[in-house]
Parts: sequence; C-alpha cells; structure tokens
Amino acid sequence: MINFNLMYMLILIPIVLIVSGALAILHRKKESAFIVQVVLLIMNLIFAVLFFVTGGQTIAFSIFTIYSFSALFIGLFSLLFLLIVILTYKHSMKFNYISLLISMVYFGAIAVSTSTSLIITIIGIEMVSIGSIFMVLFEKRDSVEAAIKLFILSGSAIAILTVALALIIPYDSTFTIAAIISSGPLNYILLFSLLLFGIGLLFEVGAFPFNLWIPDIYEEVQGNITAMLSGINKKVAFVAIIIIFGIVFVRYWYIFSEFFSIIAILTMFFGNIMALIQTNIKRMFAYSAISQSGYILIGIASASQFGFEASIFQIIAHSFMIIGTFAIIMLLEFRNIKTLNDYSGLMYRNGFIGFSLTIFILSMIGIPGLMGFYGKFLLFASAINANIVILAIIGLINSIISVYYYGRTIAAIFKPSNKNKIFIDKYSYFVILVALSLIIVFGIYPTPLIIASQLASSSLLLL
Amino acid sequence: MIYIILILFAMLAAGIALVPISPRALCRRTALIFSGVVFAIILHMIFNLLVYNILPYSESLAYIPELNTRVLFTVTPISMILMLMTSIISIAALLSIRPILERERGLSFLIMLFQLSSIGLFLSYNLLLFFMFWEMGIITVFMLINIFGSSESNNASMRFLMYSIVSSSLLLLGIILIYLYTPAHSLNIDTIIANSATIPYTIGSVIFAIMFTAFMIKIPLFPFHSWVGSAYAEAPTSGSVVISGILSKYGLYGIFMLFVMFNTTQSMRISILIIAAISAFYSVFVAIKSRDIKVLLAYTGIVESAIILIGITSGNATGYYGAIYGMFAYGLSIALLFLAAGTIEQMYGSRSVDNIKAIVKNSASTAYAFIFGVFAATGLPLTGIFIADILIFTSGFESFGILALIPIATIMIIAAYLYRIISKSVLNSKEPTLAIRGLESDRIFAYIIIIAAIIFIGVFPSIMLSIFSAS
Repeated sequence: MINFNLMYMLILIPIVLIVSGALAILHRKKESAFIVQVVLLIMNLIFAVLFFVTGGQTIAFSIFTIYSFSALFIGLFSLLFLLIVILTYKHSMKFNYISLLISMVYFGAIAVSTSTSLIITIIGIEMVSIGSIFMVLFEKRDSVEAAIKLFILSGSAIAILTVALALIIPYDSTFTIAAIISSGPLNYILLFSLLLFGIGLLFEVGAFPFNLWIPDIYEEVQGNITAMLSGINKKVAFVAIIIIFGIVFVRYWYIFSEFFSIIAILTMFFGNIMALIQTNIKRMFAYSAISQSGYILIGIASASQFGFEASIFQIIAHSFMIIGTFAIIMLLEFRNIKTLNDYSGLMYRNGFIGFSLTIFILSMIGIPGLMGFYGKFLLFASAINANIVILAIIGLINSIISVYYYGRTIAAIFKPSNKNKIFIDKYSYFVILVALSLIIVFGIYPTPLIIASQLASSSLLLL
Repeated sequence: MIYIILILFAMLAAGIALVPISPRALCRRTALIFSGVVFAIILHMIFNLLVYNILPYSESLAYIPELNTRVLFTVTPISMILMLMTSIISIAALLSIRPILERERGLSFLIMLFQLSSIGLFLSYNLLLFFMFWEMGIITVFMLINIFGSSESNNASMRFLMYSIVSSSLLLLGIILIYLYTPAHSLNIDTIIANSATIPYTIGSVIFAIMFTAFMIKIPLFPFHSWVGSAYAEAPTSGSVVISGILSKYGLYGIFMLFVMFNTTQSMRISILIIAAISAFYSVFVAIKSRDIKVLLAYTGIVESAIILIGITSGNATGYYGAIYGMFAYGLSIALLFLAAGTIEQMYGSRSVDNIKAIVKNSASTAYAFIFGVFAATGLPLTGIFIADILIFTSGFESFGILALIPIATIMIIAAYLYRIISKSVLNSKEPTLAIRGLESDRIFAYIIIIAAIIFIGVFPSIMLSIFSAS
C-alpha cells in the first residue's frame, strides 16, 4: 500500500510545484510561493527516503519508474533544490519567476532519474537546460552574454542527443531503456549513436572539449544560480550518463570505458591546470568544479557496479560541497570580495564563513574525515579494480596539483587582518550550515551513504 | 582499564574543545592541564605494563563494514613509547609559548590538535584510520607554519604542503592497492600481517616501494629533503619543537609498520641501508655549510632519522629495539635543540650562526640546554641516545657486516660542527651580542622536562627494555 501512495506522490508533487510556480507569477508577494515550494520539497524528500528504505519498484503513469536508484536521486535533488530555493528567496529580485523555473528544472531532474524511456530522459535534460537558460537570463548582472553561451551549449547538446536518439531506432524502436543486444560485429551506426550520446551528455556535464564556456557562464551569473548550475545540472547529466551507459550500452562497456577514460584524463588536467592561474576565486572554483566532474567520470569509465557506486557517492558528496562553496562566494561577491587578496583575513571577518569555506576546500582536497575523501577513495579503488590503473594514478596527480590552489586559498583565509566584519543573513547561514554538517557527519560516518550507493547501483543493473 | 584509550582521546578532545572558548589568559593553562592529564594516563599505562604485565588494550568498534574497516586501536610497546615522547614534547612546546607576544590561543589549539593526531596515529592499527590521522597532522602543521610562522612562512608552508600531499597521495595509492589485493579486502593491520604471504610477490614489492617512497618524503630522506630547511626554520618556536620531534617520527613509524607487515629480503634491506647512508652524508655536508642555526639543526635531524632507519632495516630484534629507543631518544634531543634554537631566535631576533655570540651571558639556561642537547645528539653516555646508538650499530653490524658502521662517521662530523658552534657562539664570552628581549621563567621548565627524560632513559635503560620484552 505504501508504495502505491508514495509513488504517485513523488510524481504529483513536482506537477503541483509547476502549477504553484505558474500561479506565483501572478502574485506580487513572494512569501506564499516560497512556503509552498519549501513544504512540497520537504514532503518529496521524506517520501523519497521512505521509498528508498522500504525498497520495491513501481511505475507511475506508465512512464516514470521508481526504484532504489531513482528514489535516491529524487531525495538528493529535493534536498539540493531546497537549499537553492532558500538561497534564491533571499537574494533574488524576481523570485516568482525563478520559482516557476526551479519547478521546471526540478521536474526535469526527476524525469531523468525515473525515466524508463530514452525519450523521457532527453526531455528531462531539455527541461533542465531550458529552465536554466531562463534563470541565467533573469539573474544576469550586466549583459546577456552568459545566457547566450548557455543557450548555444545546451542547444548543441540537445541537438546531438536527438540525433543519437534517432540513430538507435534500428536497434530499439520503442526507445525503452533496456540493454541493446545486436548480433554480429559492432555496427557503425550503433557506435556512432553511443558516441553521440556520450558527446551530448558530456556537453551538459562539462567535460573537456565542451566546457570552454562553462567558467565564463559561472562567473557572469549570480552565485546562487552558479550553485544550481554546478550542483544540479551537472549531476542530472551524470544520472543520465549512468542510466544510458549503465543499462542501454552495457554490452559495449569496453568501448565507452576507453572513451570516458580519455575524456576524464583530459578534463581533470584541464580543470586543475587552468585553476592554478586564476585570480578570480569564483572562476577558480568553476575550473575546480570541472576537474571534480573529471573525477566522477573515472568511476563511470570503470564500467563496473563498483565504479557506478563510487560515482554515485561522489555525485552526492560533490553536490553539497559545491553548493556550499558557491553560496559563500555569492555572499562575498555582494560585498565585492572577489580576488585572492580580498579573501585574505576571512577567518577574522566572519569565523563561520572562514571555517566552512576551509572545510569545503579540505573536503575537495580529499582529507579523510570529510565526505570528499571517501568519494575519491572509492573512485580510485574502482579504477584499479577495473584494471585501469593509469586513471587512478592520474587522479592522484591531479589531486596533488589541486592542493596548490586550494592551499593558497586556505592560507589567505587565515591571514590576520583588520578589515571590517562581515555579517550574513540567517537564510544563507542555514544553507551553508546544512551543507557543512552533512559533509562533516557523513565524512566521519559514511556507512549510510555507502550502503545507499551500493543499493542504488545494484538496483540499476538489475533493471 | 579497558576503556583507557577512550579516556585518553576524551581528555585530548576536551583540551581541544576548551582552548578556543576559554578566556585568553587561561587557554595556555587549560591546554597544559589536559596535556598533563594525558601524560599521567600514559605513565599509568606503562606502569601497568611493567608491574602487572597487562598489555595490549585493543579497542575495536565497527566503522565501515562495506570497506571492511574497523576503528581499531592497539597499544603496542612502540606505540606506548612514542606516545610518551609525544606527550613530553607537547608539554614542553606548550610551556614555550610566550603568553603576550604570540597568539597563544591559536598556537595552543594547533599543538593540542597535533598531539591528538600523533597519539591517534601511533595507536591506530587500521590503515584507513592511520591515513586519517596522518592527514590531520599534515593540515595542522601546515596551519602552524603558515599562520604562526615568521615572515617567509608562506613559501615554506606551501612547499611543505606540496611535498606532504605527494607523500600522502602515494600512501593512499598503497593503501588502495593493499585493500584490493589482500584476499579478505581488509585494512586492519593484524589481518594484513596474518595474510601477508598471500599477496603475490610482484604486487607486494610494488606496494612496498610505493609506501616506502611515501614515508621517505615525510622523514625526509635524501632526494626529497628540500622542504625541511625552510619549513623548520620559518616555523614558530613551539611549532618547530613539535614538528622536529614528532613529525619526522611519523615517517619512521610508518616504515617500521611496513617492515612488520611485509617480509623483506636482504637485498631490499641493503638498498635501504644505502639510501640511509647517502642521506646521512649528504645532510651532514649541507649542514656544515649553512649559516642558519635552525636549518643546520634540521639537517642534523635528517642524519638522526637516517641512523634510526639503519636500526629498522637491520631486521633483527636488536635493531627494532634500537630503532624504537632511538626514536624516543633522538626525538627528545632534537626537540631540545630546537627549543634552545628557537629561544635564541626570540632573544636575538636573528638565526645566523656568525652574528650571535656569548649566549651564556644573556640566558644561562638556554646556553646549558643547548650544550646538553649537543651532548645528547652526539651520543654521550648517560643520555639515552648512547644506548640507542649501541643497539642500532650492533644490529647493523650483525646484519650487514662492517660496512654498516660507516655512518658512525656522520655522528662524528655532527659532533664536530656542533661543538664548534658551542665554542664560537654559546660560550665565547669575548664580545657578547645584545639580546633584544628577555624570557619568561616558564622556559626553564620546558628544558628541565626534556633533559630529565633524556637522562632518565639514559641512566635506567632497563625500564625501556623491559617494556619491549614484556610484550
């Protein structure tokens, strides 16, 4: 019984959200939209956790399949969107419009996680992209340049994905997500389709040759939208990659494993080396987010259950780290604190911001005791387990390179200074506190998350 | 009795938590009280061992069953001795913080945190836990050098951080390889010891090489030593006491555990002996040339670590006893020397060996502490270092023949330049340099504690040796 109710709730709630968002545009006040969205997101989070704990598998409206993997990601995206809504409520001029767009992106994220049909996956990615483009347009600072860049990127991605989808027709004419079994040697059409799926999703993920505009976009848009772009859009694309390559193309793992290995290596090096020379801290963290995507690609390149489990864990870990970091950067940007020199003395200006930024940076470096370490441990272990030792070694080399610019920032935070104090409002405080406490708690006791990733990964491959 | 390890950690955690929130005048005293309590607990454990013969307390809590990791702490003789050394050096370092002139709250906090990570490292019997405390130590020392160091500390601390992160990445690679290649997929050291024969030989030697390189960077030994001069020199006084005494023992303890976990062949041991000898000679020649007293002492520390490594690599029981004895004794002696050198820097404002003369006129206690430190470093009888040297070189001779006795020359060269410094800077009373500030009386207690410990183990070596034989 409980499965039946929960399943419908999980899909109804996003639809209610969109309706409420549409109505919100007609209101002048933003409090009602905010309260409705927060309440609905919390309800969805609780239902998702309950569903994950009780297990089982159901189909809602004959298009969305809810099983452990999708329940995990519905819960994750609900929590992440809760944080983004709280950040945006406080710091955005046009919250009513943004709330509708948030609902749209949320629905797209859920569509991707629960998809059983490739068409729904692609539609989900489209909804996420289009919602984000309009959000970037609304929250722009000076010019529409960021929105145009995101539009061109997303547009190319969706176009490529549509061609890939079309190329699958001879092998999978109903577009259901199930393993493609083609007898005989590997057909070029199938190979091309696999490649195009990969390229289209890598556009969204921000992997090497397709991410050259991403730091520009992240820099020119306001911090809370950057948190959403890096924390959620990338993770939705990763979920799509795991679904498509883990289920549909699973018999051709030896091809996409090599493909993703090369892209992972290039992405990691690109992100870390470019971050070394940045002076603007927001751009530096944008490049570091690119290299963290590279780490997650290592897990996907391992193409084993262990590898997907590691990727899922690092997806969960990194999303909280990056949302917390960009929330802090947004608050500091409002006070015109942008370069490394401006960041000096941050610990003395506001102890909470200094401490939490240090913890986020230490987690990204991979210090044990924080969530990022277990992500990296699992990723490198899965790479060595899959006999791609070179990926683990390059991952470690990139960790070493990244310590340089992270350590520089930590050193700057603790320099003594006499500048004036910084005060932050309680909404941002709450968001940063949630991210910080999750990273510390699950860093010291990661067992629940590791079990959750294992369950999700095994349920994916049983589908 | 069973929960004594948890009580130990609770005392440390209480100290760490209370330092930031206590009023400014009391935070150093709070840290001292808790360090004193920790020292008393460790002495109590040693007393229990010697009199009642109760040894290993093993605490084991389930942690991450998926990675087969348990929180596993075991008290072995080596860990008890190293913990004793850690607490003595930490008390001395806390005593050497000057209350008004330095930011004592941050310094006491970081020294307590480093003490926690050292004690956790020496107690932990699980590789993941070992790695956790290792990284905690690195971050703590980085903050110590960067925030509280002298003016050039930015460069020194970044160099220290980069070298240390390279070493911990190699260590992580080794740990992942051990995890994947032990049949039980376990990271507990006792399981690894029991299963060490089942790791295939090629992978086993690769793991050994990777982890040995990681520990070599941390000690540091010859090719990877360039961070040591600047890091030790730019650290604050209490920082350099703690870093030189304890941080170099992280690497040596790691190599000790490597030898316990894996079986080594004689050819591996000979190559390690050659690495140690090359490091010793290279450091000695660099030390002769340097004009900065802290850099000089840092390279002396490398020589001492190389000698301890000779003891570890001999592979027989005398060698292990000598190495453990040496870690304790040499750690205390180098800490004393850095304490005296840091005091000299604080008194005169400069670290240069040429410019400072007649320290004995301005602060007799510092001068005599330095002289005693030099006695200790060169292995005078009545200090514990003498016994350590005897044990190490006897075991080296048993394992490797007469060639293992060549590094004794480095001790003689250390003696030569250190006695020269004494005669020219410490005792030369022709033209005394003027001190720019005086010292508090607390400093004397710091000296007395370390000197007492060195003499105690020198005069009563049977106590330490009965700790070993009781296990």
